[in-house]
This record gives sequence, C-alpha cells and structure tokens, in this order.
Amino acid sequence: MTADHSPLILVADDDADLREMLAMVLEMHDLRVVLARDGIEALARARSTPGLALVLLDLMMPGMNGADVLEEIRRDPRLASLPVIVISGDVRGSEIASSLGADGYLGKPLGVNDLMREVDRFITVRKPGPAHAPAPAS
Amino acid sequence: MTQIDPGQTIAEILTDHSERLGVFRRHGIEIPAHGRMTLDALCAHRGLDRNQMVRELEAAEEEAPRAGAFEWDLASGVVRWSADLCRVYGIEPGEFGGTVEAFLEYIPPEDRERTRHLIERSLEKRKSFTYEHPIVRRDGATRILYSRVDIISGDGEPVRMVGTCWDVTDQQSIDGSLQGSVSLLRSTLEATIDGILVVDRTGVVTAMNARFLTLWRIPNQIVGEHSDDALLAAVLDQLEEPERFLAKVRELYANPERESFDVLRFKDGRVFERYSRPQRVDQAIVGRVWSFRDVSERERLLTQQTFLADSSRLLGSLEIESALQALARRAVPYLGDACAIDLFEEGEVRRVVSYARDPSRPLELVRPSRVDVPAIYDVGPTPHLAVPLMAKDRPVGTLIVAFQPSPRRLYTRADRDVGEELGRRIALAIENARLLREARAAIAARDEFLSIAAHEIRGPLSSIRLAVESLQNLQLAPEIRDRMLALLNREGRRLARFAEDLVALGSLRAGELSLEPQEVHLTDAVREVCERVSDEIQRSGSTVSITSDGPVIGYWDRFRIDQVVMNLLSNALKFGLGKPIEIHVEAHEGWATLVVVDRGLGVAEDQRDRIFHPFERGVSVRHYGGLGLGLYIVRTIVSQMGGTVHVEPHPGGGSRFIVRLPQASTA
Repeated sequence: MTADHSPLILVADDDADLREMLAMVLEMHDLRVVLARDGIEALARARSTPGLALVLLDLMMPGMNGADVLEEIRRDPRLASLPVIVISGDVRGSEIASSLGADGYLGKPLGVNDLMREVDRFITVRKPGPAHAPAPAS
Repeated sequence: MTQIDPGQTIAEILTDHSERLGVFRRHGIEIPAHGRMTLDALCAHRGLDRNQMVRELEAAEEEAPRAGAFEWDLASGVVRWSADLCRVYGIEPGEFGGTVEAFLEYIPPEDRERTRHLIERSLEKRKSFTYEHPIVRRDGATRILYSRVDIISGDGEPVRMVGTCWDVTDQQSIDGSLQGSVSLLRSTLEATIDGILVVDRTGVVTAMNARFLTLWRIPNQIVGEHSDDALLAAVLDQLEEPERFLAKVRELYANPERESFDVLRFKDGRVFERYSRPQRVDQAIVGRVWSFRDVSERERLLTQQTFLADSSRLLGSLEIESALQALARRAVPYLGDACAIDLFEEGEVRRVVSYARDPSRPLELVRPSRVDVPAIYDVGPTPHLAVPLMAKDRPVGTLIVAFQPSPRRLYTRADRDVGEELGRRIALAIENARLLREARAAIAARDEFLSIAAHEIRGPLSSIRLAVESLQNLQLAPEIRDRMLALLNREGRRLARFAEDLVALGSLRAGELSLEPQEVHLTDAVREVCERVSDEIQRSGSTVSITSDGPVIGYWDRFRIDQVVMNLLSNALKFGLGKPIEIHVEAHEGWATLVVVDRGLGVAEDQRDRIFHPFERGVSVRHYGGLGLGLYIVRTIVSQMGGTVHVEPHPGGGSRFIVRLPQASTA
C-alpha cells in the first residue's frame, strides 16, 4: 500500500500492543515501519536498516533502555544525525528527553494528533491515503 | 533605820549593819578582805554620790533580808548572830544558843564533820573562805546557805571569825531552771540534723554539737586535743576548694554583722550547705554561729535527673548514630571514665560507639557474660557497669561504662539504677529510629509503587487512545478496524488484570488470603493458563512447552494455583526475550514441583531473593517498567500453601523458577 520511497520509521517499544498500534497509525499515513521489541534489537535495526528517516524510541525497555540506545546512536557516526523521538510514561519525560539529546518527545498516553505532529517535524507527512480518508465531519 | 556615818569604814558599817553585805553583794560589789573601804571610796567605786548611795542602801533594806551576819569571838568562844541571820535560820532573835555547837545543830548530821573540819583548817591557815552548805531549820525546811567568812587577826593570832550568810536556795532553783533551760537548748542542739559550731569574735570555738563532729568526720583524737587549729586543718583537708572556704571565713570575721550562705563541695563528692549568722547577747555581737547541712543526697539526685534529662534530649535526634556518640560523651565522667555501646544486629555484636575521657589512658571495656540484666563487675582492677538496652523484653544492645582502676571508685546500686533507666531510653530511641527508617522506606516504596503503577497504566492507555481516536476520526479498512477492536479488548483485559493484581496485593498485605482447597490436576491447570494467554504468548515470539512425567494431583485452591502459574508465565514472557519457555511438572514423595524456564536475561545472584519482595525488580527500574508484584504474589501464595519458590540460573542463560508444594492439604 505504501510506496517504496515512503519514509521509513523505526518503532522501538517493549509493549507489543502499543507497537502494533503505532505501526497501524503510521502506516495509515503512508509511512513504512520497522519494529523492535527491546534496546538491543533497536540498535541492531538502526544499524542494519538503510534509509531510516526517524526513530520512535520508548525509554523503558528490557536489556538496553532507550537512554542507552540513544547514546549509542549519537556515538555512531553513521547514525548520529538520525532524528530520535523519545516516548515516555514518566512525568519528567520531557526533561529527560532534552537532557538525553533527543530531537522530540511524546508522553504517554499519546494520541494520534500528538504523534503525527511530532513525526511531521522530521518527515513530510502526507494526509492519510484515500483508503483512510477522514470520516465526514458530523 | 540606823544612820550610816560616811566616815565609818565598811568594816565598821558591817559590824553595825552586817546585813548590808547582802545589799552590797546584790549590787555586784566585792568586799575587800580588810573592809577598810570608806563610804566615800564605796561611792567612788559605784559612781554614786553619798546621798544616792544612802538612798540605795535604804531602799535595799526594804527587801526581805535573805542574809545575815555572824561573829565568833575566839577568846571567849561566844558566837553572835544578827537578827537577820536568826530569821534566815527561822528562829527569833535571841533564841540562838550562842556557840559553835549550837550552830552545828542546824547543819545536817552528814555535813557536820566537813563543816567542823573546814572551820579548823581556816583558823590554822587564817584564810578567808566561802562555803555553801545546807541547813535544816527548826521548822524542818532545808535551805541552802552561801557564806563568806573572814578571819580577823591581832598580834599574829586569829582573834575573831566574822562572816555573812545568804540564803541561796531560790537562786539555786533559778539556777536550776536556768540549768533546765540550758539543758533544753543543749538537747535541741544535739537533736538537730545540722552541724552547729559557735565561735567567738576571735575565731575560738566556744560550742559545737555532736552532729558537727559526725558530719565533718572529726576523729576523737582531735576532739580530745581541743585544738582549733587541728579542727580547722581536718576540715580544710576534705574540701575541694579550701582557699575559698577560708576566704569566706576571713570576710565574715571582717564583717561580723553579715549572714552568709554558700555550698561546700568535698573531694569525696559530698556536698554541704553552710549557713552562718552573728551570735548576739542583747545587741552586741559576741561571735558567730555556723550551721552545716549535708545535702549530698539531694545533689546526687539532682545530678542524676539532669543527666537523664540531657540524655533524653540527645536521644531525641533522629540521627541515631550521632546521638549515641553524643550520649557516650555525656555519660563520661558521670557514669565512668569510658563508655561503649554495643548493638546486636542479625546475630552479631557491633560496637557502634566507644569514648574515653583520657585517650592517653586507654580503658578496655569488656562485655558482660549476660546481656539481659544490668551487672556490676570487675575486669582485673577495672570496675565495670553494663546495662541492657531493652526494647520491650528483648535486649537490642548493651551500654558499658568503666572507671580507671585508680583512684578507686566502685559502682553503686544507684549507679546501676540510673544506668538501667538510661539503657531503656537508648533502646527506645534506637527502636524509634528503626521505625522511622521503616516508615520512610515504606513511604518511598509506596511512592515508587504509585509512580510505577501510573506508568504501567499509561502503556495500555496509549494503545487505547490511539485506537479510539483512529476509530473515531478515520475511515478504516475493515481488517484494520477489526485489529484495533481486538486490541482494545486486549488492553481492557490487561488493565483488568492489573486491577486484580492491585487487589491481590492489598489482600496479601492484609494477610486475608483465604484458601478453598480442591483437587487440582497441575498439568491441566498449567495448560489452561497457557491457553488463556495464547495471544500474548504468540506476540511475544516465545514458544511455551509443557512437560510432565505423569499426572500431578494436589489438594489446592484452584484460583491461587492459577495466579501462581499466570504470574510465573507472565514473568517468563516479559523477560524471556522471545526465546522458548519450558514448563515442567512432576511429583515426588508427596511434593509437587513446577519449574518454569526462560532463556532471557536471567537474574543476578544478589537479586535472587530480592525479586520476590514487593516493588523490587530484578533489574533497575530504569530498565524495566512494571510493578514487580508478580513474584511477590507467587511467594506469598506458595508460602501460605506450605511450599517454597526460588530461582536458579539456567545454564546457558536465563532463569529456572522452581515451585514446590505439598500435595496434601496443609490446612
């Protein structure tokens, strides 16, 4: 459904349902999604996936948490310029995000508009395709 | 009355008016032996003129004669009594026999020899004398007479004996009552608990009571010496500040009208209050009265109360270790020259505080053999006192104090009592500090729990919100819509389970777990749980295999068994990193064993017990979300069923959780 040149986003979150939800919403907006369930997988995917445009990174993950992943990404010259949006349920999430050097922050529970607005800062987001046209205003 | 011729000598006056002697005597005049004082000389002596003198003498005569005179002519042997003297003896003038024998008739028989002997001796020696003797009057009354007798000589030989006699019986009773008063004062003086010392204006001791000697512990030998210097030396030797004592004494001698009050401190620890005021006769100051009171006991109690109050204040600090340090410093030197506090922690004894008054003279404080009662004991030459720190009925530590071997000081029962009270207060403070620590830890745990709980909810809420907003605002392809609805369902159940966990936590904490045992096939129970969460298993990427050697049947609460299996499985799914999970069930000699194996991150050795505690995580919270309740729930349920659960590392990575349950009911 999405074109091959659609922007590719890495979504890293240990919550399977949330991963699935984020993927669905992004795909509805003609974006392609690559998933990771923990920090180690996230880093591996970031290194091995060509053409990544953006990373959505949950802070709390097993193994290697989001903060460590971000640090690694910044340290890797090939990845350093990759935009990273941090997702967190922590009340101090936005402080933590900026102190980590993230490019954006989304607080849980996040909504569709919040999500897409943040994503739009880094990727030109097309309106949802015809298959997903907004319902007539009622 | 007979005129007095001023030119007459006293002797002549006396011859004529020998009763006047009594008058003279009453006026405090001593009559010289020769009696050659003229009236003028008498007036000069008294400071009166003749008319005044005469008037005085006349007035004195108005008084009832209590005296009379006699004369004994040695040549003729005739004794003449004056009329007054006859009246003193209770006879009419003229009734007297006129001889020495007649006189001796009035002397009680037992005194006659003595009287005769006295007369003969005085004649021999030609000396004047005074003599006090009883007489018995004709009416039977006994009177006491006081006589002054002169021997008149002529040509070297005694010629006459003249004398005057006073009836002093009443005076004696006055003296007697005076003596009675003195005796009363004396017994009052001896009965008081204060030590009394009276000195004259030059500092010479004029009186003291027995209590003074006891208080000051004056040895009998010094008492016998009657030496004021020795007495003073014995006093000064006992005092802490003898110079200050002396300075006060000197100051008061310089200011005799002042009263004083001060406190004396002794080298041996006694304390006296010292009070003094001038001693007066009429208005004149004739000396000083010192009064001493032993207030040592009162001082001791005051010091003790102050010490306990200070100790309680120091123990009020919540920083218990610094409070105990400060307390040890305060206890020295009151309770000893060194102080140590030992605490019992998990079967070990730890000396938390050790303080010595003089670091250059170290004292080893040795623990007592029994720690549940206060004890006074010696370790070699060193006196020790140890008291338990008692929290309720359990000793939580010991306070030990000791004195240097010299100067020798022994611990008393009073010391032991105050030590015991101190021990109680210390234990209370330690207990309070512990409770505070626990309360703070509980609050911190609660706060962490709340923040984690909030965090835990946000995950499902995010999914729900994204799904609902999408369903509301976008036209979704049917399969997308179905997926979202299924997800909403799952998140709902997930939140419901979370709520159940919270409830379980509540009832587990309250200890209200009620069990309804029934026959349960463990393998079947495991299989059913896996089926219930098959979606979750699938999404995790892990596979779950169940193995058993045969049917395992136990008598357990079905709901609780489900909880145990569910929590262990969730744990494995969460931390299993998508690797295969194995569940094995077996039974052996009345015990059922359930093993859940994952090949995920594993549990570090120092965490293997902590992960079963509530809110504890096997890894830091930063790495994991979730409440960490699951394993706590598992352990609580399993324990209540009479079983055990623990975790071991799985060779090659991961964890083995092993649950053992008695197959029979343990109710």
